[in-house]
Amino acid sequence: MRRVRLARWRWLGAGFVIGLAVTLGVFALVRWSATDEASEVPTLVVAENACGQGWTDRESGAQTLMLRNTGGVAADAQLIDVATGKVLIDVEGIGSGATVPVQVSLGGGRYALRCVFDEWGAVTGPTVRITGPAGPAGVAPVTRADLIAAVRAYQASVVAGMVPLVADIASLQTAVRSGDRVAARRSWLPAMLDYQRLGAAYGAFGDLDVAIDGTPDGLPGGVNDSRFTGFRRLEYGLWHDQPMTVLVPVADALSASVTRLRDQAPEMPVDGLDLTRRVHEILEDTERFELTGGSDQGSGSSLAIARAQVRATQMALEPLVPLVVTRYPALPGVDPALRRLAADLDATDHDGAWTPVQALDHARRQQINADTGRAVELLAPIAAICEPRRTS
Amino acid sequence: MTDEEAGRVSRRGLLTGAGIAAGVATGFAVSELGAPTHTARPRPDRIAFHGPVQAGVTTAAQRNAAVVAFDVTAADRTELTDLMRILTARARTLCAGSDPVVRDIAGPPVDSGVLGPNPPPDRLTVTVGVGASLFDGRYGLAALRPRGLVPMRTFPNDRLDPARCHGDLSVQICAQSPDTVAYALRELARRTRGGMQIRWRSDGFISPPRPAGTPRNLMGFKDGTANPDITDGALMDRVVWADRNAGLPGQPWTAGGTFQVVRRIRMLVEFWDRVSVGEQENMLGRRRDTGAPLDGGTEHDIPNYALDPVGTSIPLTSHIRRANPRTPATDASLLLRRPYNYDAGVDGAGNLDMGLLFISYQRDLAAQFEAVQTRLINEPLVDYIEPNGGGYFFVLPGVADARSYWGQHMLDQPPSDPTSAAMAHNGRY
Repeated sequence: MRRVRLARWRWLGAGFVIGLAVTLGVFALVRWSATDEASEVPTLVVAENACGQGWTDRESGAQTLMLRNTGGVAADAQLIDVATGKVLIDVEGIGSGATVPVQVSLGGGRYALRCVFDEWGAVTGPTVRITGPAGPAGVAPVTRADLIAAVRAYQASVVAGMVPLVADIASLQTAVRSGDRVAARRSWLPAMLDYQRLGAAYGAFGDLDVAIDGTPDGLPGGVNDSRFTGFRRLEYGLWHDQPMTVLVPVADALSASVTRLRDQAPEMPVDGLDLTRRVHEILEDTERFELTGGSDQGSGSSLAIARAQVRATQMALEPLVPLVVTRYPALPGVDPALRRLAADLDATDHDGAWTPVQALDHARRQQINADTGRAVELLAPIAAICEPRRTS
Repeated sequence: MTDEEAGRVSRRGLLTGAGIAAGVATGFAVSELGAPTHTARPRPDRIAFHGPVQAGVTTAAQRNAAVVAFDVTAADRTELTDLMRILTARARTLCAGSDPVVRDIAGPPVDSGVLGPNPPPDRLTVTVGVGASLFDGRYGLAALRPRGLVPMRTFPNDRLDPARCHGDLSVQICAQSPDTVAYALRELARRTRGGMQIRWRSDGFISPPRPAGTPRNLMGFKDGTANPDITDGALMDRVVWADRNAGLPGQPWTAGGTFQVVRRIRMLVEFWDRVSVGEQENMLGRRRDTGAPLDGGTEHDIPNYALDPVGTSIPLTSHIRRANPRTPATDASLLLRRPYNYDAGVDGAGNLDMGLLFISYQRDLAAQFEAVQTRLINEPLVDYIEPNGGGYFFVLPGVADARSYWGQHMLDQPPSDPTSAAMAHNGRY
């Protein structure tokens, strides 16, 4: 990793010189090819019988390649480093007859185009030699098979997380039924945090997530809409002094939904792609709904929920680390960034009484915003790096 | 650029280096125009980033701007230095333009795409200033606070919203098109989220001449007619820049800096539109249609106050006469204005929130801006305007070359002892 990064940066240091070299190189190319029938911009064929034809040895640097699907079916095109098998560009779904310009930076080395077809698998074209200094290394492809172990590990952690959730939901339900508002409020947050630690971002649990953790957004009746259910509905009632008797069916329904979720969890399909995206999507939700206070229904628990979502992020990331560690040079910065965010959130926890986000002093709120921003920027590339790619 | 700096700049920074930009720009010129071009030559829409002073001060004003104040969230001096390196590196690339949007599968797209695949420079400038609050105890900078840099005062006619005031850093982004400004802000913020957070932001635009001459503000008057000539280097040295060699007294690192005043001044335009043009002109001191002083005939006629000692034609209380009495005694308060209009929605009473994003540059806040503003206290115009935000900042010296960064000479100084720093802080205010 270290070696790769140094190589990249040395290249940047020489960037200006390279820029000039490229300038001159392109000049030369154009002058040279002026007598040639070939276009200045190479057109690479994407087709089963002629994959990667149409380009020849060339100079390194930033350049445009045209990818033209001359075949009869759509295909993905990957430019691969022949020596390492790493992918430099991956353009999906180029339709029959379509031409796609791609701007790419190529360092010295040997490259080939891989054409991938849904029905026929992959075909790799001829190798082209690029002369010049080293360039971007590309990414070793991650296949769907590579993600299976990560998905299984993640599913196991979700299943394990159901145990405290079900227990704390039972306590919450009991408290609501007892009519003791103080006890019900006290029981609400632990159950909510159990759920948030599962990382149910972006409909991970489908309709059940809406039933369990939906907000009044998008409901014509708002907080009074009959479709407003679950934790948030209960929060609204508990903190807006609605009669406890009104809240009993809400708590019962929540409990039933959670039980269903618990029962479905072991068989719940998790797409590998979803898992890789969840790594930053959980905190994208935090930015949007918790750091703004936008989803709070009266309890002022946004920062406690944000803290649980940091844990959920770590849980989604953990099983992917073996895949990412060799592919993502900035990975060593991720854990410190998440810990920093966690620590700044923990500082707003006063023995279980969390400072409401709107009551934070300005400097502390900006610090948490900054921590979250740093973390999501660092996490976002993981989805791109781990995006499943077909290699055969 | 060092490895550690670059490593912080961007994981994919190699795709955004200026040199690579030049290379790909050429590639594009070839593919799009069918003929080789040489992008190393200066382009009329590219404003030089490097120099002894920052661009965006005595640069002819671009049509659109955003002033964005940031709170620095960096934990310590090292992180602050990283932040300034990243900010500089990214701004340098953005201002060069033609930054290639090279496809890189190792992450989300390398830019927002807002300016298309081959972003033009569009006369983009990014001008960075530091506020007095940066010189508190956090970064060991207290002893380095530029002499005269204080938090913005509250003047008697102000109605300041704390959420729109002050900041550790100011970033003035100017370009010809509003999408370029938005693009630059997104690209800068994206790479600096951990080190700084937006505190407030105010966008502005400059109207085209209507029909000619100096552009008009949203009161309908030409605004900036009497501004000093930005092409007069000697004048700019006298009015704007901290001594280019020696800096502020005893602070050589400040050489080539300047003080920036930002004031978001709402105009109560509904009320203004209910006032007769004669009353408006007496408040301003100029004709609305021509911009001429009330004792003159054309915009650039010089008001002759000596011939009008009691304000028969140009009232003594008029804005132009108070702001610039044109006497030897007030010559020292001359300053460079670089204002924009702002138009930002509506208030709870259904009235428009629009006005002037006043920006001025001067070498001495007290002797120039505050002297002028003090003369303007209780001018008749105050009934129609409402300053509601802004701040004072010290615009850092320019970035010398590709290895330098904003604030480098300041950050190179040894950290000052927090105790003495705190004392200096308290003593100055």
